[in-house]
Amino acid sequence: MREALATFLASKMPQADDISVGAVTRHTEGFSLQTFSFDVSWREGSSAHQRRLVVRREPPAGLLEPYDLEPQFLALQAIADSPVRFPRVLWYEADPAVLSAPFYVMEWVAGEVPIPALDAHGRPPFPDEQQRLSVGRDFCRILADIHNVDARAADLEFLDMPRDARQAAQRAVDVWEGYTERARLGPMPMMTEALCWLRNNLPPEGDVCLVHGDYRTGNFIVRDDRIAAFLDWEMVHLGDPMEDLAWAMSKIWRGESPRAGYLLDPNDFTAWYQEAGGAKVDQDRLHFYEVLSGVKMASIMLTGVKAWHDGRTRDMRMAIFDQQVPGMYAAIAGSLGLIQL
Amino acid sequence: MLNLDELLQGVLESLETDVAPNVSDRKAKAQLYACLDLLGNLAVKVDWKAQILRDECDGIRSALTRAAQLIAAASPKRRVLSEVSAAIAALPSSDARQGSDETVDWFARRRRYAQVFEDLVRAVGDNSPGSEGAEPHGVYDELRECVHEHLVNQTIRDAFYLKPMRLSEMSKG
Repeated sequence: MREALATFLASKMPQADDISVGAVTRHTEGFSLQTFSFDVSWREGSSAHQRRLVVRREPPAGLLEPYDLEPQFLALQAIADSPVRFPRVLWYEADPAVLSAPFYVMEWVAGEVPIPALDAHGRPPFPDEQQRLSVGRDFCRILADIHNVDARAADLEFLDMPRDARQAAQRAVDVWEGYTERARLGPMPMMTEALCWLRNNLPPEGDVCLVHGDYRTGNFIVRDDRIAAFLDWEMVHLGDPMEDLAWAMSKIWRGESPRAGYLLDPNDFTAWYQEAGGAKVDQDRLHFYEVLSGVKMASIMLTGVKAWHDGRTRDMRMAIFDQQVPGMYAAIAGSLGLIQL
Repeated sequence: MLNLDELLQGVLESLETDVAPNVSDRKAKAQLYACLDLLGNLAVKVDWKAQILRDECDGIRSALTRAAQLIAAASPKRRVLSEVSAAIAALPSSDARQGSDETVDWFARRRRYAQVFEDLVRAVGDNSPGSEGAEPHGVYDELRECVHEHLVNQTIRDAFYLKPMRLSEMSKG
């Protein structure tokens, strides 16, 4: 991989001589795209340079297949001048011959990625109160920044701008029903119940904006008690801002904690988000997207199980979802008011 | 729910190809191979507990029986409901006396029951008030209640067996 990366970088950095790629580290935080980091050094004239970079590569199969990295790469390029904090992307390569699968290269951002679960010793993320509140403030501010991107001015219309929030909701249901059906290995009555509910309860017209699509604890880098960058833009699209809020607050990402993503009380989260200039929070829309969040996560899990069942991946982290998906059905039942969680 | 044999073969393969070559401690490696040996022998002898599958079949059967009674009593016009009723009538009994745990394929039976139940869920969900071609008939409220009751019972049953996901360890390695 080092040699292939050096050849690729040489083609992208014609001004650079003596390009050398150091040891490549595989990261395991994400369950979807493959992530590798490495140091690259080179010379430009008489001066020597070094930089750490990250490759994000399509997996052979996985949770969000079929993969297409190009829209997220273009979206991130389009918002490079916005105040949104994310690792700046450098190059996209669609040719699978270069590195076995399409990939893009982005800058390395130092820090830690807190996971939305208890650790091996039963400790939750953000044990330090000051850090929790500081990160929580950033969590609200960055979400408002994303939702305030001017999609037309940033040329994001290639993401297929929905007419309004109702059409965005309709599309979201279509997308996740598509995932569910493609992953079908047997009967799924809870999914059918939830999808019927969603179709019968589409929200009314409303504004649409840039939506991260996977905005939650586990997808950002913390450094010095601040969010240094937001990651994992695979589900970026134009839609209802409440989709991101509902996903971030979902019980899926908080275990037994009453806090959204182990970070903030849900009321603080919505209040601080609005204070930071975010969209007006609408409880009915939020409820619609709360139900959709369960459907979305369950269909992602089912997609992983299907890929494993079909033999397209041997990653056992996909197989475990076969046993874990009932937990998601419980989250759906809770959001539909069938059970008290 | 995947076939248990398929899952265990995946575990064995992962331990053999992804884990074993990266274990350097001799004691850990010896334990790993003992686990592989044991799992390999167990894999050909074990299956999902019949009791778990039979409980689920009983739950679905009970919900479907109630649904069939409601449909028969109310005679709603939509053909989809008579199709569901016919499918319910064609299902084998889940009564254990019809066959011992060894002779009944509970895995296949559960799948068949669940499919008919899902058809019922869709038929009821598609008839929500306000939806296109909805039939204004009170029986749908009762059917919805019946569907929800089973979904809740099954969720509680599943939750009883569910262990917390080890997300942190699986993410951080």
